[in-house]
Amino acid sequence: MRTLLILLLVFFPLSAVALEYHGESTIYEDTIWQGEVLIDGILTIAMGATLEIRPGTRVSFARIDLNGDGIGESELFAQGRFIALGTQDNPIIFTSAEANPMPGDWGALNMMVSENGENLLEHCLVEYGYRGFHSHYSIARLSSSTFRYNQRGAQFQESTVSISDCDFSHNFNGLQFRDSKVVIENSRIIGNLWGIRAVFVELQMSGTRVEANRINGISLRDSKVQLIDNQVIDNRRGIYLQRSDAKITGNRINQNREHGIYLEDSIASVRGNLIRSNGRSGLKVLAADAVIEKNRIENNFEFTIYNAGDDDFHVGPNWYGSVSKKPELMDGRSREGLGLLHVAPSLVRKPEVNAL
Amino acid sequence: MSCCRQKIAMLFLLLFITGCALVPVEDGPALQIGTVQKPYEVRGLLQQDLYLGGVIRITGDLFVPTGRSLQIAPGSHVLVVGNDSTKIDPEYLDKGTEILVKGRLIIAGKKGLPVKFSLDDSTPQGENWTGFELVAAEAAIFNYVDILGAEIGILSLDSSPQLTQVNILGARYGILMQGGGELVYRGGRISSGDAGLLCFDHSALSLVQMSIVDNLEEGLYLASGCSLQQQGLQINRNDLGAVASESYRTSLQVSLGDNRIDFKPLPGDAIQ
Repeated sequence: MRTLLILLLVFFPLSAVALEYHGESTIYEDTIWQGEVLIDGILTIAMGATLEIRPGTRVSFARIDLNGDGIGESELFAQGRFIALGTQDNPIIFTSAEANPMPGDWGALNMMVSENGENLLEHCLVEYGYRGFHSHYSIARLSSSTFRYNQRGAQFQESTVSISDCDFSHNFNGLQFRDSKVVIENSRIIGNLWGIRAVFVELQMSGTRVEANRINGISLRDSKVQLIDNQVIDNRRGIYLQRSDAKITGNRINQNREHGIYLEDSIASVRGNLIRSNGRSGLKVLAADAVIEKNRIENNFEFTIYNAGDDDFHVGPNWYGSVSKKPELMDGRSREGLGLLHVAPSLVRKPEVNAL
Repeated sequence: MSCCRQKIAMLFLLLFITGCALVPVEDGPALQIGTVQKPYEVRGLLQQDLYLGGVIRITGDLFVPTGRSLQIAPGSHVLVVGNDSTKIDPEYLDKGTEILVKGRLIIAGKKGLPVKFSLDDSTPQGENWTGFELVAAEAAIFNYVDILGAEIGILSLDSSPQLTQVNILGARYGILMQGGGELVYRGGRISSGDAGLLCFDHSALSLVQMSIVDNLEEGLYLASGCSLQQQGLQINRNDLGAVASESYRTSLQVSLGDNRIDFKPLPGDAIQ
């Protein structure tokens, strides 16, 4: 047993207390962290090495801002593999070492060209970073983790990222990514300025609450997206798609301050959603090609549907609150130069919506 | 004798002009002046307080953080270089070039010497600039300012901008008030954009002798949590003049005219 322990310590250096890294340093061999870790500089995990972080570990980053850009420079830079598997009772914490922490105190958990095996964050709390999680050309799975009080909860490019059961709350921006393939499931993106903002991505998102983000809830450009059974509530715009291809099914898109869904130059299938009590319009289209049917589009304040483009737009059968209720339309009949809306008669029965 | 008087007068004038240019304002930074030939260029995080005048070029996102100030002198022309919409960094809130303020912004135009913000000629075709984003700003004072062609002239999140004789022309949104805070707007107009002034959440608006005219969509949108005090307000020739709770219909009646629909009431359970 004693021999086994010695062997383990030789091959897997394990730090139980107060491990500190100062300045620029690099981990070249497989390493395990447990306990308290302080990073006061830039720590690189070299290609080929794996950093494993045990449950209950607290990793603190000192604030250094040598270039005066307001962003802390201490950070972790993984070119090898990064595995942080906490537990529900013993999460792993990545935080600021400052007594009065602020967003941007430290840089990021960076995964850079780290594609040999998934990088894992499970049951982690990531707070007060510039970018909580950040990757380029990497594969990562984030689950059961919280990203809060960062400038950006997560930001990644050219990566494949799977996110499940995570919270992105009260960051300046929640999730920001481009040129990536992303799955988001059963998560909460709440109280950021932007919820999700992405360009050139493939996104599948389901079972997720996107709520009280003060700019847009979900904003995608030049992307392919499936939004299924989500709740998009109380943002400024709910879902805003530009030059994208979307399937939007079974979502609750309620009480957004402006438009529930805004489709600009996009192709979309919008079916079986509840689009209710949005401040300006339920659905706004501009040069869109979309199938809009079997939705409940009710009680939106200015207009039910707004055609802001100059082409005519066809709307299938939907439910507008009652069989006899007519949708309130904004189109070329009201303003010269806009296309017309051609709206099929209302459904005779209120359709079911899944996202509860 | 008269020659000496002239020389003394010239000397005083020179000292006065030089003094104006070099003496810090209220113990603040010295005035930095750009010219048409050599504009003062600025971008990124403001690392120190700045007091700018003349011709100024904003060549990328500009961030005035908490505790710092940006002051702009009367008669300045600020040219904003729009971007190609594909960058992510630093990109604080929007893809376009933005002026994000958490600290203090003082645009000190004067009658006859307004400060003008417009797009720089080098901006790629079809691009624009985002506008001012006030995020819990410590101060935001706009005196005699023309804001041309912004996406959102002024986005105010939990901030209290004070505007005197401000014209916001051709913006997609003139002003967006979100969260709390108070907007005081005296004189000027929001015109020729998509939407005029939208108030969500629970801001307070004080609109005096200003007009919201010729916008394609709403003139004024007042969510049920917002409050309005107005005097001499004119809302004309917009698509929807005012969208507000029914209780505002009477008080706004004299302000509204020639809109496609002058007043559209918000439903009873409208969001705050």
